[in-house]
Amino acid sequence: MNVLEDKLRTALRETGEEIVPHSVPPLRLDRARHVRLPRALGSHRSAGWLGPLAAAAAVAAVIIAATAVSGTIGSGRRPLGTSAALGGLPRYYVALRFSRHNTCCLPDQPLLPRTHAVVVDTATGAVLASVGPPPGDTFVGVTGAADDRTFVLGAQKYGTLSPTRFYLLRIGPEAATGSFLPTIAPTPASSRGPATPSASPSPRGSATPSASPSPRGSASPSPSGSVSPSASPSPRGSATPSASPSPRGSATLSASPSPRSPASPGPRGHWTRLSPLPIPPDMTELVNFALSPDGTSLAVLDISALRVFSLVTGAQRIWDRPSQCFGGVALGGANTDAMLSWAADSRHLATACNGGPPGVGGVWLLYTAVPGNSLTKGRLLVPGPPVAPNGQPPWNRVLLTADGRTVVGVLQVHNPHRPATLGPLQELAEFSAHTGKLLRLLNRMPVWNHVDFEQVLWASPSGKSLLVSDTKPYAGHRRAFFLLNDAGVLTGGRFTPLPHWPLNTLAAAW
Amino acid sequence: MTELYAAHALGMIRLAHIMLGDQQGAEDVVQEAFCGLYRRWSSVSDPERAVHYVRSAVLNGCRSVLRRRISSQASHDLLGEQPVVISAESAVLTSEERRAVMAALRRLPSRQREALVLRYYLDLSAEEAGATMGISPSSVRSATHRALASLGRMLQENS
Repeated sequence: MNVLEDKLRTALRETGEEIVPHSVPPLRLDRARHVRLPRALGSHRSAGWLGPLAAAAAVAAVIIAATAVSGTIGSGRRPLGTSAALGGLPRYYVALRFSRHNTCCLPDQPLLPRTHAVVVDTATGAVLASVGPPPGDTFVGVTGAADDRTFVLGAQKYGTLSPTRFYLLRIGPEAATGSFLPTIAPTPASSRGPATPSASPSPRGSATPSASPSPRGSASPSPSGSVSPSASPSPRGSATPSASPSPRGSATLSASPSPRSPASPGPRGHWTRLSPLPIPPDMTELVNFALSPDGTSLAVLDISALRVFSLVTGAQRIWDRPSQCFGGVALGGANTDAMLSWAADSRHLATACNGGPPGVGGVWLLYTAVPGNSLTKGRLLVPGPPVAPNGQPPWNRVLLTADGRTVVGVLQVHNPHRPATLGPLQELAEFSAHTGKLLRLLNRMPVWNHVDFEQVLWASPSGKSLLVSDTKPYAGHRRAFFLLNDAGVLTGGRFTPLPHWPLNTLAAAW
Repeated sequence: MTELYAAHALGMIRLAHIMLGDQQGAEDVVQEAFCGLYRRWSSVSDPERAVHYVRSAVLNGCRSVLRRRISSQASHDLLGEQPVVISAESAVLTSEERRAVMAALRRLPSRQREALVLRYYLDLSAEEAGATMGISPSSVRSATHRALASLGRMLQENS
């Protein structure tokens, strides 16, 4: 073989390997009628009899996808210069993952997958702790404070569109060497009665759960009875807990030794805890929620209003969203509109009025320390852009950097010259929070399946490093939700994937 | 059918990706190829024949997409539209040499390009490649020979 042939083989092989096995989509025979391909391929000749068979094919597609997912969970990928590139990231993140991936997507099955939350070491991808939602519930979203230890999870009844309850997940302050005790799961809503405040301000002003762990790692019930202390460390000290309903209906945990977290829990061991938050569960069409950097406030966005709850006092403030703003997509998958971003002072909050008219549409900054009434009483940081002719709102992600200078956004852009069959385009862009002008266009990509938008999960204080992810529709026939397909740090045009990012991740927060 | 897809989808998408340089387009082409197979399943239910059928359909699909892309790009150029920007990460991860080889490959006439990909990526014999492309083995050999010569010239010019 000569040099040219050798180069050719190498180039072909490497180009082919850009397609990784887990990215293969399931076979969808019903696509014959929708696929964006030239007519020469006969897509418009598909017969009517294909429809009934498509349902059966979708079942097979789910099985294939399930196989693909299960085959890649935990297999991980080779990180590229991970340690250096990930140096600025918070140490832990909490991700929502699902395990029963074959029960989510058939037409007669529930809207949301059944999820559990995992605490993950960012640098290694190791799962340090795992917790299930209260019995009958599923987690639908997660957000984190800036201290790297405080997270809030939202949970809804599995299989129905129900009010969202919020739970505080707190990683113990001793988490420094990699060991975790089992997570304490909350009691179910039915046995809990009215929401009871269980968080109290810490000396540093952040909310902490009302119950504390015993020296041996198990917890005592709080006075309100909101914590079910049934977990205990394994004899070898490490644990990978999993939640299961007890006969009395409260969530209990069974801990099993995990080779990934071989450490001995003890008085100085790590612990995580899940406690219900004192937020009335009266919102059904939730779009997004975000915990303030100091962990004292939770902003909750539904289709009509923005509410900010104090986790210290339980008080709430409400801002109406103008009716011209696009309502948003209900929680429950990675494609959720992520339209809330706190400033570093935990008082200012950026959010978007998506698709509103000039002067109303755009990214707004609210001062939440004083009562407000309308979103437009704030300051318009980045105006527009207008709604595209296809009716889709432009903003799909809004993130204000900690230095307050930059708004990072993922926008759907319209190009009148682009054939509609090719689908829309999306841009990852940075705007000046002072002038509203475009600072940098980081990438421009097609939008897969018209709904697969890039996500920005975290930004360094200056916005120089972004933790980004693309989303991927999970196999579904009439029901589909979106996974965070791949995640990594984008710095100076270089993308460094996070290690061991599995394909069953719906949401993650740092 | 599903077994066939599970076994060959990845390879077919990779093949289409090489031809198109676009994962989404590659996935669409492969999906459509399998849809075509599904419609003709009664006549090509033999797995061996089915793979040949899908491979040919993928190549045909790629040809169609490329034709469409060229004409579409020409009109866009006239209208001043910017082409889609390659994402930063993929740009970084692509080595210069590989990029040069792939760029040169994509400048070849479609028959020569297909011949090279089938011979040097899939390691098909001239007979197998000819069956897939619908041409004779000798035509495959001559297309391959000319393609290698052109490729060498283009790479030399670029270096």
